[in-house]
Amino acid sequence: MSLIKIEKLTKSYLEASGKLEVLQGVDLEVFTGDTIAITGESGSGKSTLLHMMGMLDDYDSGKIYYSDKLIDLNYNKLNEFRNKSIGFVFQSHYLLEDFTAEENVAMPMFINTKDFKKSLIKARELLKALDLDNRKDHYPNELSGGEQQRVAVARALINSPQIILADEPTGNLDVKHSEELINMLIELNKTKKHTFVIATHNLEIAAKMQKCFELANGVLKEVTK
Amino acid sequence: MIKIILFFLKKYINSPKKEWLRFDSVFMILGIIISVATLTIALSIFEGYETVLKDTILSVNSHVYFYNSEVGNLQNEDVELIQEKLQNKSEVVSSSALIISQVIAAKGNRIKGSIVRGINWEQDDLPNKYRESIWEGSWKLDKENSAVIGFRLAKELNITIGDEFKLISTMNSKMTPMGLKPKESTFTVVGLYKSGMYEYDTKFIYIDIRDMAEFNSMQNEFTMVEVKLKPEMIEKADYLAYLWQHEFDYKYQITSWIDFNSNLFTLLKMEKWVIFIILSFLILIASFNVVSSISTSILEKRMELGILKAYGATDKLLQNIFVSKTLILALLAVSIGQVLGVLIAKFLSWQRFFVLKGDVYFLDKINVQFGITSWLIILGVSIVIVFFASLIPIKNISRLNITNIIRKA
Repeated sequence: MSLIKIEKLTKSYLEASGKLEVLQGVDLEVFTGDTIAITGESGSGKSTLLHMMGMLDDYDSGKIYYSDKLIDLNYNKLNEFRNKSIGFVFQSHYLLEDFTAEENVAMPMFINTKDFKKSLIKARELLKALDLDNRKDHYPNELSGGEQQRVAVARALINSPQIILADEPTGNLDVKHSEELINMLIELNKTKKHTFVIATHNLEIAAKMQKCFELANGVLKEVTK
Repeated sequence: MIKIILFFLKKYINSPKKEWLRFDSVFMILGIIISVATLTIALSIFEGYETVLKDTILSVNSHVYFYNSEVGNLQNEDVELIQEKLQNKSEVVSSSALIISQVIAAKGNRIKGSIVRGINWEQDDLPNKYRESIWEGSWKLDKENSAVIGFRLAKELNITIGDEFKLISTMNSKMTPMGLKPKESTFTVVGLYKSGMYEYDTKFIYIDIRDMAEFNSMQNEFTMVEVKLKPEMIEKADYLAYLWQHEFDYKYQITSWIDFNSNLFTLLKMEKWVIFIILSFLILIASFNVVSSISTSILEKRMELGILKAYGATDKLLQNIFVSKTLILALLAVSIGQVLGVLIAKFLSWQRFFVLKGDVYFLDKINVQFGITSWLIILGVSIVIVFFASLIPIKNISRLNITNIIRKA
C-alpha cells in the first residue's frame, strides 16, 4: 500500500497574461521509507506540488490519498492530520523568533498533545540526536544558518510524521552545510525509516535520493539515474 | 487549549523583544489608560458627591418623621403614644419631638430668612448629629435664649459667639394700635454649626425646645417627632414609614428622608449613569487603537502564524492567543487608568484652587469616593469593549493563506 498516491493533480493560476497551468495531471506514488527528489527549474511548480501534498494549498482537480484515504482541504480534521502526519522543512527555517530552539522543536508536539513537559523532553532528544543539544536554549537569531535549518528538521520530525516534505531545504545554506543537512536526512531515512520528498533544483542532492522526478511544463516524469 | 495560550502569553510577556512595548501597543495602552482615568474621575466625583450629600442630609435630619395627618401640630399625647410604640421596635435607635418654624434672623440692618429648630438638646441619643456638627463654641443651650447658628448665617449677619441677634416671626404677630406687630425675641449665639451643606449652614438656627415653645406660643405642641433608625435600616426608611403608616392607623403622616430627597437622589443617579455612558464612548474610541494594534501585530507575525497553521494550530487557537494578549494588556491599562483616575480625583478633592458653588451644588467641596461596584463596572465595560474590538481584526487570521505567506517571506 502506498503512503501517498496522487492522481491527475492539476493546478492553474490566473495571471494578467492569462491562465498559467502549473500542474497538468500529475501522478505520483510515495511508499514508506522512500526518499524522493522532485527537480525542475525555478517556477516549474515544485513548491506548489509539495504544498498540495502537504494540504497547505488547494488544487483544481485530481485526488490525493494518504494510506488509501482520500484527503482534501475540506477534511474536517485537517489541522490535526497535518500536525500528526506531515512534517515540513522550508527553504527558510521559519523558526518562531520569540522561542528558543527547543521550544520551536517542541511546538508541533505541544499543539498535538498539550503536554509541554513531554514535548520538551522529546525536543531535547531530537536536538541531541542532531548534535544541537548545546544550542537548545538559544533563540533562532543566535544560531547559524545550518543550525537553524537543523532545528527546523528536528521540528519536522517531532511528531514522527508519516512523511517529511522539504522544499529547497538547502536553498539558503552554503555547500558545506547543504551537504551536512542532506547527509543527515539520508541518515534519518536509513536509521528511522523516515520518508522524505524533497523539492530541489540541485541535481547533486537529487542524485542522492532513491527516486528522482522532474517537473517540467506541468508534467512530472521519473528520471532514470 | 488554555495551556498553549498560557504558554504563548508567558513567552509574550518575557519575550526579549518586548513586543508589548511596541509603538502601537503603547498607544493602545495609553488610550485605554486615559479614557478609563477620565471615566474613573467622573464616577468617583459623582459617587463622592452623592455619598457626602447623603451623609450631610442625614447628619442634619433623622430618618423617619411623624407629622399630624391633618393641619396642625402633634399634641403632647401624640408624642407620648408615638414614642411609646417606637420604644419596642428593634429598628429604632431613638426618637425626639421638635418644633420647626420659619423666621427672620436679624442683626442691625442685616436680615436673613432662616429656619429655627427647637430641639431637646439635652437628650443623649438625639436622632440627628447636632452635637457632632458644632464647629465652634458650645452645643449646650442651657442658658435662656441661647442659640447655635449655621456658620455661614453667622457670617452673613456678621455675628459670632457671644453676640446677640433677633428672631422675628410673623406667625405670632400681635394686633396693636399701630397694626400687626411680629413676635420678636433676642437670642445669644453660643455655638456655630457646620454641616457642610450650604443650605443648612446659611439657614439653620438651633434653640432649646422650651425657648422655641415660648417664642412660637406652642405649649404642649410639636411640629414633628423625628426617628433615628439602626444603620442597616436607613436605606429602608421609606418602606418602614409605609409599614408604620398602617400600624398607626393612618393617624399620622409618616415620611422618610428618602421621600424628602428622592428627586435629588434619582437625578444624581441618572446623571451619574448618563456621564458613565457618555464617557464610555472614550473607551470605545480608545478601542480603535486596539483594532489597529492587533491588525499590525497580525501583519508582522503573519510568517509565524503561517508556520503555526502549517504545523496544525487551528485558527481558533491563534485567535484566542491574540485576544488573550490584548485582554491582558487591556486589564493592565484599565487597572493603571483606574488608579490614575482615583489619584487625580483625590488631588481634585484636596486642592483649593477650584471649589464648587455651594448655593448651586449644595456642597462647596469636591468629594471623592470610588466603590467596588464602580470599579467592577468600569473594569467590566472596558474589558467587554476591548474584547469586542479585538474580535474585528482577528478574523484576518483565518484569512491568512499559508502558501502565500511562505512564498512571500
